[in-house]
Amino acid sequence: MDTKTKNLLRGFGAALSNIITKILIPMYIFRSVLQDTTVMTLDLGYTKAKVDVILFWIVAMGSITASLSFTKAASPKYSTRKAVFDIISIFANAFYLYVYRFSGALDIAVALDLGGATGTFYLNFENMVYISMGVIGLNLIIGLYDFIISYAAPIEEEL
Amino acid sequence: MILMILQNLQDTLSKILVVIEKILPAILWSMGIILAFVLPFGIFLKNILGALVSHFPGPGSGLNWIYFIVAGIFLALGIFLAVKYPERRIML
Repeated sequence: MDTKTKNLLRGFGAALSNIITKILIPMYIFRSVLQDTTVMTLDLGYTKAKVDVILFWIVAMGSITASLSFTKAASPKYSTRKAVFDIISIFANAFYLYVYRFSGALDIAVALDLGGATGTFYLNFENMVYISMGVIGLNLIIGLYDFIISYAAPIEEEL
Repeated sequence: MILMILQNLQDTLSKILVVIEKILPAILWSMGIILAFVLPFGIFLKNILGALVSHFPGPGSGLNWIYFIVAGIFLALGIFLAVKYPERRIML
């Protein structure tokens, strides 16, 4: 198998895994949450309009991260372009994560109706975003370090 | 008999304490790193992204295709570079 085909296959594999984990699985989860509210007595506060907004952001940012993961994975090892696309991909992933907060997916108002007793409580997962963003920030430092190495002291691949 | 049981208990506890003594600094250090770097960094990034994302075209606007155009550009660029320059080159 020549290098071109290897690069393309690696890229398509990365893009496919990205599409499955970042678009299809969240889409399935949010759609199933919406369907379950009609069956269950537990109302999670996700209306159809809210889920449509969340799905729009997931598909929009997920498609960008998937195409960037293709470009990153299709680049040869230790190359400058891989480091550059890695940094852009980290930013895109940060945006992808942020749209969960922005679209209101992390605010959950649970209304319980258990026959005689009713109640409402609110769950807010926004603080989890801070920790994930911090991890993304640390990844950004590693990405910048890779870029500096590839630019200033390029590593020769073993032939 | 009781002395033997107590002796065994002491041995087990001392073994557990040795393990805790080794693990505890690692746990405390990682918690410290999370509190000192990860959380402030996360809050900083969140504030920047919050300012940027509010300007992005939302589902109501007629500019939804921009996201797919950007994704297409990156995909086309990736395919072009993977086919045209499959080997590692300086600056590419």
